[in-house]
Amino acid sequence: MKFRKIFHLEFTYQLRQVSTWGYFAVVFVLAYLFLTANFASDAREGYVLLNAPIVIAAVTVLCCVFWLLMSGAVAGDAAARDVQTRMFSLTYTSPASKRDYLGGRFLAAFLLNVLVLLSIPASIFLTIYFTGIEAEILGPFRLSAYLSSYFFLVLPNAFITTAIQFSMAAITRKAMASYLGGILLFVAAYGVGQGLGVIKGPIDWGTLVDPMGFTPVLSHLSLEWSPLETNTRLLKLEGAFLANRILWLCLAMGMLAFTYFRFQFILPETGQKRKQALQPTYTKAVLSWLTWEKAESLPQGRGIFNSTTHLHQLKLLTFNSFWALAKSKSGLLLLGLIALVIGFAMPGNLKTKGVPLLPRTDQVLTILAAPFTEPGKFWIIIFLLVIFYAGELVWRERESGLHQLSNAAPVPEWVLFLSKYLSLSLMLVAGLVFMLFSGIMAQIGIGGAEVEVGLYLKVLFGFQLVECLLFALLALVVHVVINQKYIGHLVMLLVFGLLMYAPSLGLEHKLLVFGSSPKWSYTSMGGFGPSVVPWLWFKAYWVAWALLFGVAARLLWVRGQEQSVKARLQLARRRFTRTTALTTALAVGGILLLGGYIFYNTNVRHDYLNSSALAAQRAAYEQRYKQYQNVPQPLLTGVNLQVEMYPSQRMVEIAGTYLLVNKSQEPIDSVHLAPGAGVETTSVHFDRPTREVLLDEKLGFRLYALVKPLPPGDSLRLRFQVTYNPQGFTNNGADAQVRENGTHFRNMEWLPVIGYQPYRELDEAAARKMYGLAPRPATASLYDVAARRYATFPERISFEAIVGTEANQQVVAPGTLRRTWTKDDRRYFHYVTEAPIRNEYAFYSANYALQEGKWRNSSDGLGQEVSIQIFYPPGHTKNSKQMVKSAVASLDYYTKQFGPYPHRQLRFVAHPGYSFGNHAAPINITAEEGFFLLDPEADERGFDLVTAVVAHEVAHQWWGNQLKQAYVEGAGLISESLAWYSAMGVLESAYGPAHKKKLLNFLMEEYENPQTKAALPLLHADDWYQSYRKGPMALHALSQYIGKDQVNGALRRLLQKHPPGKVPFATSLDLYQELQTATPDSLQYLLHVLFKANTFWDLKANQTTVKQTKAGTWQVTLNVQARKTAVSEAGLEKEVPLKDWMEVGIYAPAKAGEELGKPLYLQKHLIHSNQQTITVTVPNKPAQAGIDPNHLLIDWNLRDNVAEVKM
Amino acid sequence: MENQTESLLIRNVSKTYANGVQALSNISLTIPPGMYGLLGPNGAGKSTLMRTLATLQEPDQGQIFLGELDVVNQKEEVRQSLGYLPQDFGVYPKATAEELLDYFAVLKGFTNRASRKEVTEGLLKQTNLWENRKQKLGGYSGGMRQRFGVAVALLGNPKLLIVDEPTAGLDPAERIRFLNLLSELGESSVVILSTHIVEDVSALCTNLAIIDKGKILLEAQTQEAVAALRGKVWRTLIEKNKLTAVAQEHQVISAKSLGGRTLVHVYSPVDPGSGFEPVTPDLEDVYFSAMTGVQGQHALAQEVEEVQP
Repeated sequence: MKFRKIFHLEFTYQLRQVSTWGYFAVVFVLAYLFLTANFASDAREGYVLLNAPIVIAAVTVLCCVFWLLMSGAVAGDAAARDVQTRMFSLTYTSPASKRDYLGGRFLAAFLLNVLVLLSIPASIFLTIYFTGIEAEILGPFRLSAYLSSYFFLVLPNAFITTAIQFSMAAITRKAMASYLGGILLFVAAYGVGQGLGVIKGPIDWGTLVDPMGFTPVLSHLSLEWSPLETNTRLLKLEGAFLANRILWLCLAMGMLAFTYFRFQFILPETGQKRKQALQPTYTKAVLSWLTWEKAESLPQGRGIFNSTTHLHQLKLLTFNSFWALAKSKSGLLLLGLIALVIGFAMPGNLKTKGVPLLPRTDQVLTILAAPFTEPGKFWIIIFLLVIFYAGELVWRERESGLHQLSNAAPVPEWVLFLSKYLSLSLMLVAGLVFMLFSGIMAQIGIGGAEVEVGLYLKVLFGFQLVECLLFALLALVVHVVINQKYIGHLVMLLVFGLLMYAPSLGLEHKLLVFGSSPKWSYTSMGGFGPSVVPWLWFKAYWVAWALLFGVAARLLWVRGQEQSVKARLQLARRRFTRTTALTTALAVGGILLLGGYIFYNTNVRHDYLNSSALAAQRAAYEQRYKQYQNVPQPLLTGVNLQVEMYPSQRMVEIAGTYLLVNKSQEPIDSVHLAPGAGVETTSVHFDRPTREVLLDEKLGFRLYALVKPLPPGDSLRLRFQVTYNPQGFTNNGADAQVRENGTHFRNMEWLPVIGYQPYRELDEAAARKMYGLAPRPATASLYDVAARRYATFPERISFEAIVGTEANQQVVAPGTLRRTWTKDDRRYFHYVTEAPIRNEYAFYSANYALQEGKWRNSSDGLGQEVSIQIFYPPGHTKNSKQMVKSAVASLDYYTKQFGPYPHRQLRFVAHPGYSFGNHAAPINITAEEGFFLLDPEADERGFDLVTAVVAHEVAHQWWGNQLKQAYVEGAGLISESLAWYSAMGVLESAYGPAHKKKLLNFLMEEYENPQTKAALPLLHADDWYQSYRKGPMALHALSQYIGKDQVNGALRRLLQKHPPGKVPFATSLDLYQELQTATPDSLQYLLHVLFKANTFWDLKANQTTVKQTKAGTWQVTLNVQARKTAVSEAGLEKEVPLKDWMEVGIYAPAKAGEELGKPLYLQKHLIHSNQQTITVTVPNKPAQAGIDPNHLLIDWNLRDNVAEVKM
Repeated sequence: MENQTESLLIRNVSKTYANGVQALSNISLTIPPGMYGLLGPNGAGKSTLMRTLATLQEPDQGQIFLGELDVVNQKEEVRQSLGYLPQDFGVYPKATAEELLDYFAVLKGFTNRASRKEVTEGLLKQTNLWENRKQKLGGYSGGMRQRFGVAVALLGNPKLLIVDEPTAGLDPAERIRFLNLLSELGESSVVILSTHIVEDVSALCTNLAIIDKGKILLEAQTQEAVAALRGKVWRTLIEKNKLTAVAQEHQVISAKSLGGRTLVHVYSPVDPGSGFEPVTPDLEDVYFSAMTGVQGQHALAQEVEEVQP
């Protein structure tokens, strides 16, 4: 009865609160937004049906995770309201038992949360069926989808959250504790769960630690499940997900039990300990009170009030509230802990593909600094804390009751507001100091890089501090204006969310999103470049807004009892003084002036295009000019350029001449020119009479009619002038291709191209449909014969350029550097290619260090010599020698195996940037700065990624630059897969089989990442995994079955049949044909299953027994289990009958550090059934035996192929 | 040493809350320096008036002047010479009395360390908190906390001191000492004591006003108000059940239980006759007669002319 009454009172009390329905509404809207803004567009792209069970589950977990941030109020209120409203003296003394009291309150809170979360399925259902979502992206309605989400996600999540929050609030007697509990759960789900999800291993830690089930659901949706599964499979309680639910439910129950035993119906302040401390002083006070007689006259001093007083007050109030905040458990201690965690996580974060990086200061700072519009995994926690701090600061006086005294004190409102702001700022400064130490400690701990204190100070106390100060002000102003603590938190969280997701909600212009600006960037090589100026303009603009917000907060600052909107506005009018007017005018003036200047830059000096306008432009390009795609055009065969670079002025002038030849069978009467974007193309001049027919600068299409058509075989010269002189900045900042040090630009962006450019078309199916374009696959079909005639920039050209730059810089361009000279304080470089290159090249200008090497071709008898040059950022000498060595080995191997290298140079050239990617253009391979920070020596796997990547990139000089692949499905197989396969050969022949094995292991690491098996066969490969991982492994397997020489011979013939420039371009079918020729009949089946079907094996060594024969040899009996499946693109798995040759291996005991010992036996056996027993006799005592021990076949489970041998 | 004596003028002040409750209705008072009692039952509008005087609330209309200062429009200046002891306040439990008083001293403009020390020391002694100055405020008893509030209110020798229901939580000894403290201050400043305890006012205040339902029922000098009732209050001791009958015949101003019977005070300019004996009136009789509408021209007058422009 009591239980029911307590429950009922609590339930109805909170049900009547507006905030409860506010949470309902917010979650409802969140679900709507996730569905319409995110999943609907995915559905239109054809990824997954909008009402697929996993999408419903994903929306549910997303909503749950964000609900955590505001869910504290319900449970916290139920658990701690009595203490905070001081009603405890009535309730605690009533004869209700602990069970009734806590139980009733908890149940009420739980049901209220369940009610709030009921908005998720409600919103999903209503959004899907009543907001005009088209039926094409929906599957049949399935109640079970909603029910499984509700019972496996919503209910347990509500219980877990309520239990943990309720317990924390009940034990601490503070409602705030439950809010903190919510944040902790949020971090566990959003940060830790997602972070650990990356770690591979037998135990799925990411799934286990995630209290909301966020990690498993999203990983099902985006990685693990095949399209068929994502569209139809129901979320079931199984595996790690089941363990997760049980674990967290147990934890929640444990918390509740703990609370039940720990909770007492007394207040901590009146607990035993304190009472004793109080007792003696109390008696003393009473005594002295009674004996006290003489009243001294009252002190007569009066306060002095002037501006110094206000500064004094400001100082006092600032430090007072700062220390109160700093000393609390969630204050400096927590900030310090966060910094510590970041420091300890640094080695893990400073890795790429598992290879440790040198902890150069700029790399460390990419982790230590982040804007609040894109806070990343660490700063999001700190910014959430700032919201929490802001609430604490604004409510500090009122929560303690001191406001009754202090509000009447003669302190102006601006001092009150500013003191709160300054104390919050001090907290952030303290946090940044912690960050500084954490970064420096991590750098020293990892070692190998210089600690650049000056850079730390610039970044943390310059850029990052401004971010912090803007955000702190916003949080404080929101709390002051809202004037309801929980609703203030809620509103600020929503604002924070909006700021983070503004671009995806369609707010792309940075003038519209508080605090956002183009990003600053700094790399050791390129410095800040032109990134600082736009950053400063935008931030100054937002500072002006911040000032205005500050004024508003001062006017609306609550000081009295009356807090209605009307009363506050009335008071605000009274507070509006001359100074206020001046400050407001200053702020508004600043906003208009700065905003005006920014707008002038983003929208007047540059065309402002948001993503939909950009898509519309691409659509218009296709609609208007696709008609010219197949009109014969003269072919580019020669390029002669005169380039003047002015890196300090960020300016480049190019005068160029193209030699164009009519290689078609008919006369050509017009030339279609596509000028580059972001540059001005002028003085277009042909060496024969032409007429300008069309100049469409917006879409980038010009049409010149030749007065006299160009007959077949004849040529013409085209002269042009290209000027790059960017003015100001755009919404995305200033273009940084040309910068003081580290200029880098490519022909494909800047220089004019001949003909219609299909790569500018829209590819996404939904976007094409929206703009009324004919549907087509994003990548052309492998069987689309016409498409085989197109590849990106395939022309073979002779190249010559004279490039001038500033005197202290070095220019790199394709070809031989004929001459270099200095004129008028500028350095000039004359580059000429000796053999034709593909029409893709870049110019670099920077202050480089140079590592040189030479490779002499020993096999061709002509003594071809190739000079190898590594242009790297000075100071990073570590890898350049290895790079030269690997390049030499690669040239050696590839020329022997595949054919000659046509050029006299091979270069790797650095350009500024954080990432590690390389891009192999002919002769010159671009390597981003981060590549030179890789520290393979520190790699625990003992794997040298640098050497392997160099071999891969050099291989592209054959696969991609000589053999040009058509722009159709399977293109990745003949560029990337062949490059990795070739690199394996280099490692094996020049570095030894152990190195190749490490590369194979590295490639196979990908097997452990959760992902779906559903895919097209390799011949149609167009995703990353297929091109870069499965393809190389398949080629490797084939080479182990039919012999490396056979495969390499097939590749050599492929290249011979498709010499550079030959049209149609090669496809994976051509590769397949060559491989087929090289493969014996007995293994044709293998070629087929590897490349023409998406095949997976599942191989396992079950029982292995051994006994010694009389002859002293050892007889091993091995029971193997095998399965082979073909998986369709949609994910349909079909078991295929086995009749496969597979390696069977028996191994001697392994030495320390080895996986397998010396092979005692390694032969291929024909496996023809799911269970098979194999008996082998070996001379020595075996330790391990297994099937396919070298993992030649594609079997994602690497662990069970080999088993220990039992006696 | 300046010792200005400025009066507080309240002119036609009205306040209606958003929920429709009219807390103050066209209040006008002139409050001279010295102790001034504001008497009224709970919910009469006392606290609203106090908060309005303490610059923490805006009146809907009306004007308030402290000497030359316009309280509504010159809040900042008023606060510089204001002492306010609210009915209910909290403290930072982890701060000591000395620290927090020092804190308030800075807020009240004592920027000089030496003068601040002098003032806070004096006040801590004055309020008899000197011995406990190093103790955390969280461990203070209700009375000690109230005294701390007084110390804060007295900081800076305020020209206007507003004390709202100050004696509610005090034990008898504390209450007497507290009232003595107030009376000392009352010599040079305007001190407004708002209370529902009649004895507090009768002991200290030379002037008083009685307020109920947002209206002033009586504004008078304490002595004169009592004197005006002299010879007009009578009492009798009756059985409980006869009270209704008596009330029909006489103007009952108060009735309280006394040893199982009821002691009734009635107002009558002439001898009401049998069973009644004359009483020397005290302030309580003034209060009750005002509350019952017997005495106090304001009450009757205002009932009629309730004008809201």
